[in-house]
Amino acid sequence: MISCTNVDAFRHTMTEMDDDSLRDVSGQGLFVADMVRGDELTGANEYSTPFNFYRIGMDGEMQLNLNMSKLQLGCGGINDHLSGHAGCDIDIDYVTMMGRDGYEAGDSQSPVILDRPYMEFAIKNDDTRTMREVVGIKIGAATVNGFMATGRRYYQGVTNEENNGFASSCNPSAATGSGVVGCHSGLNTVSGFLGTDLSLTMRVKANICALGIVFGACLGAIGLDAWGCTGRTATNVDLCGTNQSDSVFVDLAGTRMQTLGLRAAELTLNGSGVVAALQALGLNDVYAQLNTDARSVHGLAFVDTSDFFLSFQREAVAYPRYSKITPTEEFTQNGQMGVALDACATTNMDTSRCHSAYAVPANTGWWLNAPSAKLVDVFNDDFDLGNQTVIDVLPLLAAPGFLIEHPEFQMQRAQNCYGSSTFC
Amino acid sequence: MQTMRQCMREVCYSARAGLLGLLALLPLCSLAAMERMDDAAMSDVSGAGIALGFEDFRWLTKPTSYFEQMGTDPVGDTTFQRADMRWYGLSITAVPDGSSGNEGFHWDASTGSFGSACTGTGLACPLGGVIPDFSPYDNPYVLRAFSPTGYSYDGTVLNSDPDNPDKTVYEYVAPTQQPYYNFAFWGEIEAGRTGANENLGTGSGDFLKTQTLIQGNAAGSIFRMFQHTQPGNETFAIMYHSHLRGDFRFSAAQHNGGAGNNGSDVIGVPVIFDEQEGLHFKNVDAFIPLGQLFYQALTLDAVPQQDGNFILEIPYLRDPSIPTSNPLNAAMEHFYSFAVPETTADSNDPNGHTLAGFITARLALLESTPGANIGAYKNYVSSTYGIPLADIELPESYNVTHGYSRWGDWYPCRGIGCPSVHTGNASHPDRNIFNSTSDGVFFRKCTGCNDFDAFAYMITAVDVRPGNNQYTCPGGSSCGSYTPRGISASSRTDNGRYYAQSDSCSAGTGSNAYRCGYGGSYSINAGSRYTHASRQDPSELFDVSSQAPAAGLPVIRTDVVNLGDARIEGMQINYMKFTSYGAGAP
Repeated sequence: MISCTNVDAFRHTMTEMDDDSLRDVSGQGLFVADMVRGDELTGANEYSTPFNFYRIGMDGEMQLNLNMSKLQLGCGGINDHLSGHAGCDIDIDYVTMMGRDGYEAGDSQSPVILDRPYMEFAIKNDDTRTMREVVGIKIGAATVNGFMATGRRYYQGVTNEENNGFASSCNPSAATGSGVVGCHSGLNTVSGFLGTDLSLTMRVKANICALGIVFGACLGAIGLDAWGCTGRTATNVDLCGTNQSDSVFVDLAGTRMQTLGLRAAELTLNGSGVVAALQALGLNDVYAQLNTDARSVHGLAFVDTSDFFLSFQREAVAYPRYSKITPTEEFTQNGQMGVALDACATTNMDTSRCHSAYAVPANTGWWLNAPSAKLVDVFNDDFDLGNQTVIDVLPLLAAPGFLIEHPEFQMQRAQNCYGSSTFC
Repeated sequence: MQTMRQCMREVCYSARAGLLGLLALLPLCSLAAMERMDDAAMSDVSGAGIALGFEDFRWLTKPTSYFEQMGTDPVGDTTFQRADMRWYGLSITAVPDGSSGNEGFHWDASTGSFGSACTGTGLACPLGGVIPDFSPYDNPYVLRAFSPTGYSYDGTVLNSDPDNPDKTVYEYVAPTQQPYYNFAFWGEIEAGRTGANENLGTGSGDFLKTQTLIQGNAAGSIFRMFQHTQPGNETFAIMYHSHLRGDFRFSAAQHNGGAGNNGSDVIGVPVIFDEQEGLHFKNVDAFIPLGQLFYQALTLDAVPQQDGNFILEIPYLRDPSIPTSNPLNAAMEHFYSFAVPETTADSNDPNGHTLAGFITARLALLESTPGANIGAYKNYVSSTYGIPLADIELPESYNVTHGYSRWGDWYPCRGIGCPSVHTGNASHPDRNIFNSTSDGVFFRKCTGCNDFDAFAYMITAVDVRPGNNQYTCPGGSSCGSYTPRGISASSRTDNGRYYAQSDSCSAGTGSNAYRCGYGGSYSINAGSRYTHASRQDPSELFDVSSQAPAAGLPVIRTDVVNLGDARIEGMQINYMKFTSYGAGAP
């Protein structure tokens, strides 16, 4: 852009250029583009081959910090036929896109960084101009580096202002159940694919009532107080490691999901008393099923994540990956195979999607694709299950495990304002 | 980037045009008569400006005329190629309604300036008649110098005395009301071009010919230029508040009129586009504030290495060297527009942060939700946080500093103050059915195309660790409590994981008010559109066996799919910085 603020300068420094002189001028183009056929890449499937994909990108880096008090996409419409009751494909309260610090939210006002943001059109029957159809739109970037914070956390026994159906009030003393969920708002429904690296550490407490529970009294109580962990954790209070082989990768996918779950989470316990005895015998691994309302999760980290995108489409579409190679090939080329904290960088936890240059098929409707999201180092130092009978705790011994419903993850909501307000 | 046909002086003309309106039409030599005015001289100017009144207005561009972005090969490690894009035939006309003088027509210029007749109306037709009151004399476009009240970057009030203004801006203001009009163009997106742009017929890359129609208006929009007030960054600044409302369509299919009349894939040749096909947005209402007067603005700069790249930035509201926790100044208070004192807090918050932003956001959300009980929420806030009711009020500035974008008119509301849950035996009347074309976002097939299969599945989680149970819920097996709230999964067919042909639920009262979910009662039926398709279940790409019935994947086979309505509320851009990559070394 040329600033013409001074007439004298304007007259003395600029001269008219003729066409021949202009022909020699070549500036950079702000936009870049690409066309990818749905059948040309490795792993082409019936959700990619009917389409050609046209990309338009901005040739640059975008840094962004923004807040949205409400994000609702795909409310009503065709996906009512999928789940009926849920209102929107994506419904999130208090969304913040910001920077990150490790796997947590960065400082207030820090920016998320999108490298070469682009838009992509899925075109069907592209070879026949009278039958050419716009099928879907994808908005993505080559890489995304930042943090998406969501929701609000309550710390007192008050009404949850954002939810008056399920879990409408907060019980700050609760360790599990609707009283926990009542202390959180945020992710109401999510549609998409989240390839999640998950880890958590909890100090599990319970009274195991060997002789049962009679009129609320625990008979023959055996105290349980132990640190349990799963996945790759950073803290040293637990026994979980920090290597790729210690990771727990969970592929979450679907439309209008409201709960996030993990079955057969293997918790490694370390503690005193009976736990110490079990630990000495190498029998300190127990199993748990985690079923949590998505509201309890207040953020996801994206660490140079490739193929993070938001799309909407009329039918299932497998969009090509930005790199146009498979995740496994990409990690191999970058020397990250066996190192990167991603299921596709392993040989024993990779699935078919790791060997396709096309993303997981996106459902009809709105779709959030985050193949390398981090939900790690979730930490709760006071997870009290209260009185449990022996029969209650038997599922700990084998998969799918002891059901822990709506546990308190103790995730904090990141601040993103100047001054003292959390949200603005 | 402008075409080679534009002279460099016209770049400066374009900048001047934003300031001087009609003077852009004068030859270069006239600029020698103009002198720069300083603020003191400008302050003597009162009510000066240019009004642009247009009645019975239409702007037609020949469909072969175009603007072009000529690309270059990108630098660095990327899979992208050079992009060349052309926008043809930009026109502003009336929204065709089929009445005399406002029949629609297409791009093909079959009768000189006007193309073949359009058989439809509205978004079916790219071009129409004249617009009776585009910007009438009593509500025109206005270009003027002005000194509005505002805040400096440091929070100082500016222009508090209209007789002694501190700062002046140049502003271009749209009419406050306008009829809906049709802004349309067709375009070409070309990837990987190798030939010179002087001869578009050779060396072309892969390209897509499309059409874009916007039928609405931008009434209330305002564009301002001023000097930024950030210390050390007192540079040229732009502020743009965009109000946009109406309908939108993006399409690619060309009309099939038989042999010799079935379109063209030759670059630069205008065609008739199919009147039905494409992506549609109906009932859009959006406000996007880019920058705020004086204290937040779009600024331009060069990349420090001076390699030809540029930076487009909305700077931070505070110098990053100053702690973010420092108290707000008046400009920040204007930006945040809290409805309650900033100190309103949850005393148990371990981080010591406050709740003013959450309460403000919720109050604003309710004020934009039809049927909401705002008083109930205010009463709750007053009693919970001890704030006098009269002190709970959303400042007017909130609607200037927070943007929104709404596509359609139905959004389930949950929480205190929301409208009563919809009851009865039918869906809420504004809740779009699967093939609605009147509201929200929908895709439609082309006239001669086959119906397509809409499909979605609902897996909850897949544990990819070897030897662990992999499951899909609801449905599947041993799902326990993995059941969506609202209805019983057992009432669903196909294990509750795929589309249902029909379903219904009647919301109750009291504790049963949300048994159908936050959307309330519903009754849906895809009728004969519901069928089964013999194709791979996407879950198999996760190495999870399909749960589909023997008949195949349940789908809804349709000519139109409505994705529902959407909204973003309370949007604030706190910081933005775009740094281009494309230029090489100078």
